[in-house]
Amino acid sequence: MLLLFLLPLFFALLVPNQKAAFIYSLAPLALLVTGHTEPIQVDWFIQGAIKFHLAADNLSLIFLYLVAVIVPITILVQKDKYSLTLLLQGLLIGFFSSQDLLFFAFFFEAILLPLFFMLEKPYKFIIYMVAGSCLMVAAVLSVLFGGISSTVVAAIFLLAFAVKTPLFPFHGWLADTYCLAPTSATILLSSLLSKAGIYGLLRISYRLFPAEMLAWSDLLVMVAIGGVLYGAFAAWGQLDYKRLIAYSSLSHVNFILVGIFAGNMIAQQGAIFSAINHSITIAGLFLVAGWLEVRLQSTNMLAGHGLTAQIPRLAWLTLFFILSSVALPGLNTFISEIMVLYGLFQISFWQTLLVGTTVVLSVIYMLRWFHSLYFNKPTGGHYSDIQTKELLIGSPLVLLILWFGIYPTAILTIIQSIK
Amino acid sequence: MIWTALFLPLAGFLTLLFVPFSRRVVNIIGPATILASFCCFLGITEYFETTLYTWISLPYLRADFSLHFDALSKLMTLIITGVGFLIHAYSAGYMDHDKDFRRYFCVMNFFIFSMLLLVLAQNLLLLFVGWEGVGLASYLLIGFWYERPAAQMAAKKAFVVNRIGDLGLLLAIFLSFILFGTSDIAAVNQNGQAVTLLCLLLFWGASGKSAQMPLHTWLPDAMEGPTPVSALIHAATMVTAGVYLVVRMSPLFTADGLQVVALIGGITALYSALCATSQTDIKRVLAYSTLSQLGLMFMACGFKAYNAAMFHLTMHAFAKALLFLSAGNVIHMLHGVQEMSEMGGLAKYLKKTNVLFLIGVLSMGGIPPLAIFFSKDLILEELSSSTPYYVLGLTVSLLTAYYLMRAYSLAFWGPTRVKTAPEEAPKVMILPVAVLGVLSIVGGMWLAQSFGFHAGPGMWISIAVAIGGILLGMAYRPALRLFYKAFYINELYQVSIVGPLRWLSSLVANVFEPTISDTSLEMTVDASYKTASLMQKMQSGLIRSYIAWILIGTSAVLLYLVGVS
Repeated sequence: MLLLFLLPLFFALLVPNQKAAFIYSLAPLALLVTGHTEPIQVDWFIQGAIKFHLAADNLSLIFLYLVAVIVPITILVQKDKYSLTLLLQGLLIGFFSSQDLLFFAFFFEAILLPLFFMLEKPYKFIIYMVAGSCLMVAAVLSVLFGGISSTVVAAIFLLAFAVKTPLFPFHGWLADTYCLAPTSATILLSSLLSKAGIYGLLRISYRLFPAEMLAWSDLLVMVAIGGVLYGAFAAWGQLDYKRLIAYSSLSHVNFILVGIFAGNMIAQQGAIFSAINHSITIAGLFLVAGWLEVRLQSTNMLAGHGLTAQIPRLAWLTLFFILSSVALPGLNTFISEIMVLYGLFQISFWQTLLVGTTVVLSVIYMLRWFHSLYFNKPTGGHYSDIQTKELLIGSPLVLLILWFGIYPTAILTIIQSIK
Repeated sequence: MIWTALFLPLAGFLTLLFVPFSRRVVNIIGPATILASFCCFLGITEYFETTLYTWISLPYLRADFSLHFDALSKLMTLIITGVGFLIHAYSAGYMDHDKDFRRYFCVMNFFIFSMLLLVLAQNLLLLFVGWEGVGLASYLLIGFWYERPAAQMAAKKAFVVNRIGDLGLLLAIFLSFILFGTSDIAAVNQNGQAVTLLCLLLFWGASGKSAQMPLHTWLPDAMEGPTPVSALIHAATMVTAGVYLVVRMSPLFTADGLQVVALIGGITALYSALCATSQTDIKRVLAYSTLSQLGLMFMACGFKAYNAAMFHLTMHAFAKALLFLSAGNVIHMLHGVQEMSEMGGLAKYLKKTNVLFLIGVLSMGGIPPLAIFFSKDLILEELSSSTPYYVLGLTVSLLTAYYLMRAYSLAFWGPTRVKTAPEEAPKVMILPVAVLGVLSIVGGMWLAQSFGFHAGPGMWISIAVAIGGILLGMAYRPALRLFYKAFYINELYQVSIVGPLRWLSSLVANVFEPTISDTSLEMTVDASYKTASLMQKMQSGLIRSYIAWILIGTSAVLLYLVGVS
């Protein structure tokens, strides 16, 4: 565990080039696969009240694997700042395996540091993040020493996680940040950072304050359903495809939150699976969006028509990720989506019907993007299709999508063993 | 054997997707996989269930990858692979000028695989995989000519409207898990309960795929796809999936549920028969005719005449595929002309196609002893227990004979309006159609016994109606604008549903979003500024104010301590 955490940080100090950074970033995956996850525990402060304690149960393992798989892919589409990505990888590993609340809070804030330097115009993002979690230190201390009522503490944690995920309507930072950032940073944000909030809800909110979360369940589910629909409509109205994907991500993470807040076991298991699938699929979508942006020199949906004629392979790949995103059966998202919907169905038919409309809405906005670029009369200009290198970068995501969609037994067993 | 039969088309799909074969090889692989699969299904004589592996291993949402083979699945698989093979073979001729032939056969094979999965699945979740798979294939094939704006619009519409239906089916599956703890079709059917909500949700799903009102609008537009696609997907197989679903889940349907099925089927049958009378595009006539016949099948289902519905489904698959493919010959040989006003007098040039199309018209029109006569008469006989539905059925039969004869005479008779004389279609495009022609003639006599057809007095009425319709179609050919525009339902949806939703989306994207994003940020920044300036005021530099602050602070602490003790 210590090695898992320290290796990326050490590699970050070497200031590697792309090839080296890619190889270094695979180290955590190698360690995870070979089972090097024995916990580490060191007393640090106030006679064992605060410990440096890293350990990985199944909930942590899922997110650690995501970090280990997604980060190497982003390094391959990155142009510089590899050290920062490796630093972020180390901090994320620390975050997802911290068992001590103080270190959890420390890593929760620390992951903002490398991101600050990786994003374009990061101020909006940082202000939101800091505003969301400025009271968290107080909350952590009050958990340690007591003093504030647990309702207030639960609310503070909820606010911090809600901003990070983001839960509607705390998403003001999302579209601009996703859209302005380089592809690699957008993937890191949408695929991994959004999961920090979700992991926090599962690890802290539901383990430390189950009563409060249960009491707020109805309200929170309604807000999250609002977020699902709001994100879908916002995506539908975009003219810029990177913003469109950003809002589709908003809609999908709020769908995950619906599952978490619904509070029953089925919906929460579905939410965890949804979180994994969202990481994979959104990475794929931003990957192909990035390749399109390189070719079109624009993220405007009207920048090209009929591109299928020139870049058929990219068209197929785009369609594949879109189908995963709209939860086509046989692909990953379908199973997690029906788990969440079925969990919700046991609580309320009408809420299920309401959030189920996303099945239709997601097709509407995703096809709007796909059709405006790939269909209609081809425009002039020469675009080169993706080559073997790009196909190889995308292939781990494609394989994961097919694996989880067709033969999900392994992942479902792990998810069922949580709690 | 059954696994071979199921996975052969999938293997064909994967091979064609990844290996850039030449046209000749693709033209062989495409149909060959389907033919082999057909032979396998023909060879399976016993009925059984079989499981490959556990797909979703959740105790509460369990689904196996398992197949169920019985008389109903056998009939469906033989239609799918049999008619499917003929249409694949025909496509080799139809697509001979298209540079994207590989993509075409690739998706066609994928369609056959999904459709087979749909009719073989042992549980509803696996059925749903096939259900959405055929929807995807249909989308890809309607939008096959992606450079045409109308085709891409139609493809998107088909996918979206189908998804509305799919939501209903998904909810039905959830309800089945809640009620029975499983979605295994046999287990659900045998539990003895019938729940109206469940069958309404199932029918909601069925009406999306089978294009029943109010989800029917995508099918006429789907004619933008290549004609063999219309024949296979939008006439013979995929659109009948809804009928299959209702028949398959028939023990679940309550009396109330069946009434809804019959009513919706009846309305759709009459509505689209009226629309078909005034269309100018030959494929649209056939599309509305398909809608109408599907409505007839649902009416039969609503009267618990499942045998009659399946009989009509089978006969309709032959005759409608025949009509579409002969229309395809016309369109192909006229280089893409679909408007009947630009045809006329084709009987002279396309002698074989003329005969084949006429067989299709007479068969669909219900002239004995051709195929459709038997199945339609069986349905009418079942409907005769209720006068309104019987009259409705007869009206639809009359209209069917009328609009098909009208289309035929517009295209093949009268003065010729084509600019250059067309040639007859090549052999590869005649032979498969001829096979369908033979089936449309003898299919009814061949299978009438096994579906329980027997001659009765009502037969003479339906014969009279059919002949009346044919004669009327020869003589009288007006076109009503209301029918041509399909009662303006598309326009109505546009104004009442699509428009407002689109307005909402642009409101969210262009008004709410910038406001939320910026205002919330400004509020945060403002709040920090104000706090900061408040703090600044305390640091005024005046000794007097410091002394005042110290006094206030000390007294506050003292008061607090006094209060505590």
